[in-house]
Amino acid sequence: MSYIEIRGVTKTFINANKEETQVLKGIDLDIKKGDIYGIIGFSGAGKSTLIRCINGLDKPDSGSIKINGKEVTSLDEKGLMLLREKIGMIFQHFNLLRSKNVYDNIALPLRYKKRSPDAIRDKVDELLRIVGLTEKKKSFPSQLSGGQKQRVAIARSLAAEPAILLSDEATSALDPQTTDSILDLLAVLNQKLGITIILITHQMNVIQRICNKVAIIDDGRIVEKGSTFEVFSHPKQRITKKFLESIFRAPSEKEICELQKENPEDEILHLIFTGNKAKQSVISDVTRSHHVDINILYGSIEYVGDQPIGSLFVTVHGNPFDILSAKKSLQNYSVEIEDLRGDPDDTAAIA
Amino acid sequence: MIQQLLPNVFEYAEDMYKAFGETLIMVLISGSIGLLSGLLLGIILVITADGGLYENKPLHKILETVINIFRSIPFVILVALLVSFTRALVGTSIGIKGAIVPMVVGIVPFISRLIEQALLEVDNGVIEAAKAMGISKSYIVFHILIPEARPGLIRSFVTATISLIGLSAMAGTVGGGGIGSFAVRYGYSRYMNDITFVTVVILILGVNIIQSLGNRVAIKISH
Repeated sequence: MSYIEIRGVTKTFINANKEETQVLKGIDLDIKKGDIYGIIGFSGAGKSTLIRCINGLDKPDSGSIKINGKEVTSLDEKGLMLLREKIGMIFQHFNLLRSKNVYDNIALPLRYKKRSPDAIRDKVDELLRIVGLTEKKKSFPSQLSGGQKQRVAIARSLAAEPAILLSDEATSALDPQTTDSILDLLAVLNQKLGITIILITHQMNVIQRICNKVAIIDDGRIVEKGSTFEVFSHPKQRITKKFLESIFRAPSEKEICELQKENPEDEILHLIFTGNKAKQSVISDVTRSHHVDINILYGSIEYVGDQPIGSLFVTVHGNPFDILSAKKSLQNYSVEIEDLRGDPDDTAAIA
Repeated sequence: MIQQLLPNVFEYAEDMYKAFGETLIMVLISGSIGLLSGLLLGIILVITADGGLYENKPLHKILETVINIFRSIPFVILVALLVSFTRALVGTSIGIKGAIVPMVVGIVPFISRLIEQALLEVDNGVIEAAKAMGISKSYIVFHILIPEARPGLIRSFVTATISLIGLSAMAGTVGGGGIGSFAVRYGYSRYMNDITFVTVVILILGVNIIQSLGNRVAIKISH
């Protein structure tokens, strides 16, 4: 049994004009203790609603969410309050109290729990050390940068020593460098404190940097899920590939069209190499032994965790038999091959 | 020379001090009662609204309607309308006591709306974050919603106090005493323009002092 078990969760919102929108259309998800589980989707896909269902900020219409075997969708107000103390949450816009300084912001949940002033001071000081903001203790949120604000929010979310941390687009308002430093902090918390992290994002590089699992959500459904490495190296759905384009640079549809017009016989392929193959000279081997010309359009190697994934966009030129055997041999190297050429009629239409 | 320019002011100086004193008392008393009840109603308006912490549509609707009704009655008419109520409540419908009752009734709906606005300015995300921490609703209202709205609340108080000065002058003309009735009695009815003039200058100064003090406090407590 998994630590967090989501089964058949649906949720419909009704707007002011009484129009119904089904935001979640039956979500199943299993999250293990210690996972950093990324949920990625475009805006409006339902990811925010999904994460808010986990701590009961939104209530599913049907389905079940079990945390450590305990059903949370049926909890009453009191039960939810107790549950939420054990689930930290951070937000895109930090949501700090403007009227309180860093120390008092972090102390908020502790004061609510009526901890002794000494205990509060010790805990807040410890949290400030963890997020590296000890010298900003007396500053007000308006005096902090975005990254510092998110660090304060993280410290605050950790005050009640939660077992789970929900991150609702926590890095979406930050610049790339700050994003990386916040993600690294989350990874450290995951390792040192063993906190299970569920994060939603629309940025694939966030998933790549810290998530061990990923689920792609589209129009209220999980369309693909698995280990980050598996999904990155063997993407199945179109939308997954679309997201991966931000990681592996891909030729545009227009580029493909033009290439196809120039040399209709050439094949245009996306090759994905994993493990050691990412670093081997597969391409030159294949070129040599099959008498084909392989022309590289775009190529890169990215790491997921410490595993490399290589991506090459190539055109293959030669007689059809040679191309076929070259592809076979690539497959023998267990290279993932995707044919990028559209249907000739389709391309004619685009052109 | 000043004495020559403003003869009546000097002659009726004592009445003028007294009139200002009366206005001050009227504003202070109706202000304290008005601010407290307005604060309470403003909070209830916000927390019972759609999606509020204690969502309660019927109560919200009733409150809205009552506030709108009272806000649409011009103050001078309200004073007349409330005569029997005022008499029943404080024993008289004239003088300071008689003026305070309609002043409170007149200002509370206005203050409630100002307070409502100030509270609505609090970022909903902060409330969400507090909920996500498992903090109780009542704690959120008193330890998060109100403290976060403080600068806006102070500004509302200032605006309300200044409006009250205006109301006190109107209440004065219908028998309430204070600076309004003083200015009308001498400045207007007896053509003592210097009294009208000095009254206006003092009011301008007073209002500006209140406003800038309020602004300063609001800036000091907003970070």
